[in-house]
Amino acid sequence: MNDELTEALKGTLKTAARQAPAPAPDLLHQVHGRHRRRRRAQAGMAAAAVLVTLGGSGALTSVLGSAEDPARPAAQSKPGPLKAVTVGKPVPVERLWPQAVRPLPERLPGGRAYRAITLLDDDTLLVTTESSFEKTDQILTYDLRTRRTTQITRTPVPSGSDLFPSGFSVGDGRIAWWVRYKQGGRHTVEIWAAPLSGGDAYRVAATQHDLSEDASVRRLTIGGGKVYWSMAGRNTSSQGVYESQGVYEAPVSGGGTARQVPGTTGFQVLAWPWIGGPGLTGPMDAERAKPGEVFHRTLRDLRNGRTTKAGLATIKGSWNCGITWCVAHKSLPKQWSGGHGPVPETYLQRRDGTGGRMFRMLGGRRHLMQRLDGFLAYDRFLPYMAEPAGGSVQWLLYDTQTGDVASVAVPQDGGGYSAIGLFRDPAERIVEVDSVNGRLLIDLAKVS
Amino acid sequence: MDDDGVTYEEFVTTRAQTLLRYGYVLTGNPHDAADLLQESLVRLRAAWPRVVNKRDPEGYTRTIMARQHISIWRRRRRESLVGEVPDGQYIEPGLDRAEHDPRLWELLSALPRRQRAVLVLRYYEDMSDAEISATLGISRGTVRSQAARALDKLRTGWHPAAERAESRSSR
Repeated sequence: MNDELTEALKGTLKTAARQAPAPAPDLLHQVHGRHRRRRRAQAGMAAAAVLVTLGGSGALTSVLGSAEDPARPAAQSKPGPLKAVTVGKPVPVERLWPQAVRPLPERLPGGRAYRAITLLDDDTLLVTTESSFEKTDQILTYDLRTRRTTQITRTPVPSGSDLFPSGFSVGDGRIAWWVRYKQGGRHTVEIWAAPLSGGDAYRVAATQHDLSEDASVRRLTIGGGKVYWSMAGRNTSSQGVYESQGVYEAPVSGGGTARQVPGTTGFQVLAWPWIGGPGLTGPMDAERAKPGEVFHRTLRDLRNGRTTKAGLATIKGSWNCGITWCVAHKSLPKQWSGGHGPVPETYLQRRDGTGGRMFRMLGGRRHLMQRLDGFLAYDRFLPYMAEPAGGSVQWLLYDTQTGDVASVAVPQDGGGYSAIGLFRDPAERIVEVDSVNGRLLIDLAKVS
Repeated sequence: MDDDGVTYEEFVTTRAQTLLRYGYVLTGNPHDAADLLQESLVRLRAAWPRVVNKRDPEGYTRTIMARQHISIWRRRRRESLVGEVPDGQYIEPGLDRAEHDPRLWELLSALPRRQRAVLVLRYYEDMSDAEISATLGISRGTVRSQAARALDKLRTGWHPAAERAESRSSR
């Protein structure tokens, strides 16, 4: 009676499921936060109940002791220890996470070169094309199954631009990016956006800065109807010290003006809705850091202004926190380039002091930690480069959840290797790799 | 405490995508799906020590997702649960082709939440009516009547002319 309909229904549901979004990278963090708030509320009620029924102070204390004091962030409880762990041998990513690896075409249909930005759903890849080197001219979607492209918008390049459209970020049904040009001797940063459903690009807002040539928007994120971004660069009037000027916001629909979010001086955007402070602002921050310093120690929720502070084990070195995890490593030996000296240790711990571990990458001759922004990719994977004994440098991803290590880019026959676009994705969901087997996409959301 | 946390976290990390897909077909939109998943995971967190001993955290989570989704609906509107039990059997042929029918997807969004949930459990989760009844906490008769109503509504709005002609000739 119903077989065509039910079959169509099965197909439709199954296909729709493939179009479901990926879970937020900070899902666990959000869940823990909600759980804690609820437990606090419940503990309050339970305590009152105990008082009535037992009147015993011992019981009352134990109930209250199990709840977290709202005025005292979880982080201030004593951090757990850093347990020594051994990192396993790297396994080629195609073998370790076959479900996460997909082939990408060298060029789009029609022959244009492209860059992959992020995945909008399981099959829809957001890409950009360029009219000349780094000069993005179009944003499109490429369907990995049907292999069709659809234009979202063209990206105008304001005249005089010295940094072309960059930092593409998606949220609230829109895509936003920034460009930079000089006006009256000052750097002007413009934020642009377009609807993901397709349509003309429009200017969101602009800000002017007295910053050095290498000043740029560090990160840009969209949420709650607004674009948020943070700048980093050396102030031209302050002896070349990198500084963060705080987090700016403007309505993503356009037509508004940019303003600094109050109380965010020194903060950097992590990913909606999180900002962290004190922000890592320049490439040398980690080297200059004092022992015990924690970058992004304070995590602030843009939706309600609530903050929590990381509570971490004491180490010789500085921590660098993302949304859930913090990373640190022992200072590199001076004669690093010689490849001798002690093998540096790497430390990982969650903001709340759990999951602490220390390890030596590969147990091999040396490893080179990528400094990047200190984030774990997708709030879970630690990217690094390593040169195992007798081997050549390769790109690896350490999975904090399972302890697995995937080699994502191994040297090719000619001695070259590349992991392109490792962190072009603002959501850090995808890694794009040039391998001996062609261009590959690693969808970190698919790693189980 | 950390051991429990890690286990729960492992569960969330490894199953979140699958559960979000399920949430998406249940709710029909990404925001509600994310919300439903988050809320259900918070409940799972509270129940974790209990649930993990009973072997099936995923089944538990799927059940709270389905129930939660319906209870939100229940609060919003009431519907008579008395319905007639349809005759006949449902044939569930194996799914070889996974085709998306945007019209059908749209029609699904017009269904009351419980009717939609019954269809999702039956045709996406491949559950028997007995399992659906246990999952949603409703009688098997209600499962069948809800499914029949939902399918009726879908059929009325769905017009694949060729397929209908084909089905008539095969009958």
